[in-house]
Amino acid sequence: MALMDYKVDQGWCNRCSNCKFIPSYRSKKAETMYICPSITRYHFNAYSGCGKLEVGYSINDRHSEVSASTQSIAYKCTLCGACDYTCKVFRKDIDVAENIEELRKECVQAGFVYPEHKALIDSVAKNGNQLNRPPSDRIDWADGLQIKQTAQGDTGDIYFHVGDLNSFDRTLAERTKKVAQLLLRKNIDLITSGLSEPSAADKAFDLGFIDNGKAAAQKLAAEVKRSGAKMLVTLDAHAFTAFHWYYPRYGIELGVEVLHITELLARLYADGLLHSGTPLDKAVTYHDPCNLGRRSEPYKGEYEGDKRRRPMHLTRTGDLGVYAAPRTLLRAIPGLTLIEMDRIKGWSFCCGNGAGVQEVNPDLLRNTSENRMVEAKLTGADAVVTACAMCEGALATVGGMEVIDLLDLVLEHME
Amino acid sequence: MFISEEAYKEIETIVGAEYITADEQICDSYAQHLFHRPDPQLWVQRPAAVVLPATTEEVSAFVKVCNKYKIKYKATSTGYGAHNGATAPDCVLVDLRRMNRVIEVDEKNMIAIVEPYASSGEIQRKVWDKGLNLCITTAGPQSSTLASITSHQGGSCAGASMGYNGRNLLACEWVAPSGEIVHVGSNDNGGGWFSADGPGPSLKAMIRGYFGFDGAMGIFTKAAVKLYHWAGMRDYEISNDGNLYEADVAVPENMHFYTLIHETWEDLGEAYYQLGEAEICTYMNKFSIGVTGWGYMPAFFEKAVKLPHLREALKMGRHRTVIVVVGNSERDLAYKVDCLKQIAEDTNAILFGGHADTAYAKAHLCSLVKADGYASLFNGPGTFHVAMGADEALSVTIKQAQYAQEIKERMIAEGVTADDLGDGAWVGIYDQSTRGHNEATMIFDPRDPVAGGSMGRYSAECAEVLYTKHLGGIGFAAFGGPEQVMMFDEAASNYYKHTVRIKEIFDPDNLANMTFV
Amino acid sequence: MSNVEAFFNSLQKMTNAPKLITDEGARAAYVSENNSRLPVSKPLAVIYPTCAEQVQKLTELANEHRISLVVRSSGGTESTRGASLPAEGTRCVAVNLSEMNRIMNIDPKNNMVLIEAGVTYGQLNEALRPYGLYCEHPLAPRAEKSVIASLLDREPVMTAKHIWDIPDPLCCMEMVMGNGTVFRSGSAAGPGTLDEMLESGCGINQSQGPVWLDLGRVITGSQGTLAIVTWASVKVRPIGSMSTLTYVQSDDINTLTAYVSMVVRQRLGEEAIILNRRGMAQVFGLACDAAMPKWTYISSVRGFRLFPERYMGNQLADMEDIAKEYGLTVLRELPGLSNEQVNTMLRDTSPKGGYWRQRYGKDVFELFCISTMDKLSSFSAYAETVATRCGLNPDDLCVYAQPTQMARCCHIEFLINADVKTADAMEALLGTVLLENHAFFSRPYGKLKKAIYETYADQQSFMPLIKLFFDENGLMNPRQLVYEGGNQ
Repeated sequence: MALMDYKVDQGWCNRCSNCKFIPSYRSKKAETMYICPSITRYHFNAYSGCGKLEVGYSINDRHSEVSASTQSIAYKCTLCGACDYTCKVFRKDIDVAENIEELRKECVQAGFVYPEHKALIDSVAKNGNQLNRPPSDRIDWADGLQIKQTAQGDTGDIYFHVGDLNSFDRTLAERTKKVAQLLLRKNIDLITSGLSEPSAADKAFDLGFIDNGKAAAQKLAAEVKRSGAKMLVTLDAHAFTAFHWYYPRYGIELGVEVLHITELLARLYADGLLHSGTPLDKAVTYHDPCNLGRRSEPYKGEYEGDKRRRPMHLTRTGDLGVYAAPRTLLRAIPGLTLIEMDRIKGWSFCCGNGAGVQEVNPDLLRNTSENRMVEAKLTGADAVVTACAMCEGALATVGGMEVIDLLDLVLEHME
Repeated sequence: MFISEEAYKEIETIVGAEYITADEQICDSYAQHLFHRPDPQLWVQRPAAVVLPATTEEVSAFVKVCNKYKIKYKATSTGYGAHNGATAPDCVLVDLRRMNRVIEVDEKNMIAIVEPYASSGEIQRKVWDKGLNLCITTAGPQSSTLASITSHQGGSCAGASMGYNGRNLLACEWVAPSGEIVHVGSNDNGGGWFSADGPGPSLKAMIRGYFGFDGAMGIFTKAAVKLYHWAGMRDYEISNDGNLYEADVAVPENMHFYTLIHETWEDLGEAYYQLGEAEICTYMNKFSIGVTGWGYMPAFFEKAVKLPHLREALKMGRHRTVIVVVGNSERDLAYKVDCLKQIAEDTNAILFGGHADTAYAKAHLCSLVKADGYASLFNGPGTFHVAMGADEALSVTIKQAQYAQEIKERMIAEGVTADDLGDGAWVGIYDQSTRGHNEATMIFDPRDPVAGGSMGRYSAECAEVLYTKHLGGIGFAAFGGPEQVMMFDEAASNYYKHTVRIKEIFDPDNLANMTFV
Repeated sequence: MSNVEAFFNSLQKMTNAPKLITDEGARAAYVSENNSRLPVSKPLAVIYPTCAEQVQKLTELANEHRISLVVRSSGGTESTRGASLPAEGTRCVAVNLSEMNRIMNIDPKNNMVLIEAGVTYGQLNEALRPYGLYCEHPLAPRAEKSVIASLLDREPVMTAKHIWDIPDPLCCMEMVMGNGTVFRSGSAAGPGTLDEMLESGCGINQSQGPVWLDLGRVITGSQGTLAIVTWASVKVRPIGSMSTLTYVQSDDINTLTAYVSMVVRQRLGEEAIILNRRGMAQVFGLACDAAMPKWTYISSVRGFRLFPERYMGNQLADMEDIAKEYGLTVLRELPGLSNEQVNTMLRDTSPKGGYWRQRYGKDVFELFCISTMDKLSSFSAYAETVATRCGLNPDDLCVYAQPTQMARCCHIEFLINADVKTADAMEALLGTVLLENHAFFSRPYGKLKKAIYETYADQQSFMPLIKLFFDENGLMNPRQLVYEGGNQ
């Protein structure tokens, strides 16, 4: 696919502005009426979902060329998919988020690349991670665990995918270890790549470096195949979206069922293998990560015809993101009260920490995470829980309210 | 750049560097409008720059700079349709997005004071809580109420109980074409926002006619909108994750939804007179089954109209009126429902409905009270054109619909436009009275030159009917392009020449540029 | 030959020339019947047009010869506010439209009438009665009051719930602008002649327009300073097949207005007025009884085509339920006052020679403004204080509040009998107090006009532009309103 393939989507936008707002029937407060972080921060229409469609049309219709301006517009966006989700409430024939992805690809192809992003992408091939960190910084979270490793020629049922961030941050690595321990205690046949886990390269896809992403993805796919696993479970929400969306879209077959860790834990709970444990007298609210929610809806295949007649089974609405599993786990924790924010599930407001924003547009990250924390605080909850390390980091930076990763709650309050 | 560097710098000093741009791609994101235009095109003029003022003072200072350098400008808010576009290469677009507050809801006196980018849905949410409501036009809850009441049109399915939005403006704050900040109406002396007119002659009526000037008469920065009594839901409680038509909304017992189907236009007209007199509709509109079907079930409808027997069956329901009845008390509800039954009987209609507890009823009721489904109409062939629209006596607006149907049926038979069964009329009542509004719709695919041409023909023929049959005015021919505008000028009291004179007097350099003429 | 003579000559040479009266007596009546406390001038002549074409032509000639015109539509020459009389120091020709009094069309299907400028309330309601219709009107106007003049002056009618917007029930009109241009507003503009439009079934009931214009509304409140209206369309309403009256009384005006707001917004009742104790005496001649609550709200309820009895019953029951919430009681009649008496005043014009505002004599001081209903309490208190300070008995102060625009606001009127000197003092003092407390004088009259325009300074600077649009030679009713920058 290329930007030109979206010319009809771009031209078809009726400029209703629904992509900027949470649908009116879901709106509860003035503070939570907007849904697009980008236009909320930058205000010009180009920063909205429809604005980016129009920028795309401008390029496709030769009114303008891909330029530094395109780059600025395309990357001042968390690629959270909220615009696409709200648009699809009304229109089924416009793929708003895909247009943004294509704009980024065009920028990369035209050489409009931020050095900060280039460094991350180069790091995938050079260092095996997308954090621009030397491989030596990777933490051996599996050290001391009786866990199968691909490097040792083992095979197992479930490939335990950790993700770059969870392997390079000490606190996250410790959590990763505990999660693995929990699963091993349940006699789950886990297999991991440990220190040699190939990068999922989700950032490469998000940032428009498709070839780099595909090359890395093939490595990971080969590794998964080598593991003999029938299922992949990941701790990384961004990788989760990559596995469900980018990989199949760009022809990378993992060949296994892909679950997010919260899904696996919810299944264990449903199967009676995971139980409620120590009570926690706390009111929490839950922040749906975009990449566990709407962005992670599985790829449904391309539709070659007129999208106005595209059947729903080929239309990606975002409704099939993971919304239930985290809530199942939260409800399983005794004593814990869940108070929902206004913008939840498909209407979740992004934390701001995605798609290369942190590196080049920190103001957007800050503005967005602050906005989300205002909403979290308005619930009156004691803490905000999330299930993505990127979200956790962004929200915790704002402060003023405890931010907890769902896995920590499970580890402490479920057995 | 189409404006001088000096002028740009001055504007930048006013709004801040972050809030002005001449970037061509950002400007292009304001220059594509598929909807509400006389031609099947997409591009409108790219503005020379876009500014984002945050306060009335900034707007005023900006307009003064425009006057100093003779820069054209035009205000836009939520921006739905070609009338929001720039009008000349040197036109600066004023995006009022940063002025988005609902400043006050005066519950006692049924008034809300709002800024340009306060969305209708947001205002509604705030006022429902106080047992009040406002007229949201079919542009939807994400659109600007201020734009509707001060600057554009104002037709709505709420028109029966909440009037036409062009009459729902009370006092306002306005940056005149000269850049002066003017408090129009009663708030000039801080006396409150309850009256648009006076002292003495009505300045308000010079700057907002039946249609507004679409940003070509200064810039409105605050406006008071009339609120109306509301005995419906105070909040929108949805018990599932469904979106729009799948949302399971809790509908109070006093909110009923009815469908009224007439076989003939004559019976429908008679029913509307009685509905107005009995004051029983909170929301109502005639929803053509063809246009609705194409919008919400495009694949089905495309096939269905090709099957003669199914087409005939669908045609039986094409004059379909949907009605929301809200009871202020149990007895009020019972009375209204009985009146509706009587009217149905008197006018040979099929009536079904009751408390809105089915998925069909809930979906319709909710889309009426929130006005939130209309963007889906673009799911049909792609876009639609609206003709007729001259508000007048109900019988006359129904005549408009009949003529439009005849014109379109001819085109359907010729195979040059989408088959929506011919009747594309949305008809509604205003002010619980005998005054009506009709929008004669043609859905079309703007990429298809034949369909695009048909749209142009339909628009012109409908205008011709208004003109030759004397059907109450100019209506949407005012948006039909210069030819239609000028066709009506002499026949309608030289309205265009008078408009130009007003512009010459109020905005002698014509800096706030009009879109359609 | 002076310009005046030239004007008269031209006028007389017109085909179908209008009646021109230069008789001293007729001209002097304009001065002698002025009881507005404003000095006025004798007109140079009085013209009595009988059709719109004459009005257009005479206005054109007036422009040609630079003759100022003062228009009057109501019968007689009496004026309590002085706006239809030549202002002091002006040389004007009076145009009296009272002979343009044709009811041009009654449209019972669309509840609309088309009337000429001289048609009076008494005349119109008489004509409408056989159709089961009536014209909503102000509280018991003079029988000879021109319907169009009253509505153009934004004089509030009593049916607040049917007043969706300020000009209601006035819809479209034909006007001759001060510059001689004929313009038809709203859907009256066409396309088509009036006859052609009526033939097509038009109700002439879309008041705004055409398109970007709303010039009919612009000239409301202009006191004849912009244009002459020759005919207009006016909404009328079904009388209904049955009716009754309700009364709610209280000493606490805030509670009462809260009740009024709630019933009107729920569309309960038809006519709706609020009077203080003296007001009840002033309007109905009811003997003032100190035991009577200070404030009375009177509302009629009517039953219409569908289930009239049930409709009325529901309305009354809903009113009672709301009244209970405010600790009030809905009465069906008042002691000492027959419903018939009340109905007469609500449904009809004042009896000849018995205009309610002059019940206690012609030396009446009148001041009115509009505001939200919650201001009624404080404004009335100011008026009582001012009356006392001016040596008047505050118990003699009539307060009439007319909810309008679905009770979003109300016309508040103070009346008290006073000699000229006291009335002047009242006007100056009460006017100042009210202005300082943000009362809104949508219809500025009397000596307070200048202060009002100075207070409403923002809009004042646009008045000359409006004047320029309609009347570039400044001929219409000079010095009546303040058009800063010339053309006064």
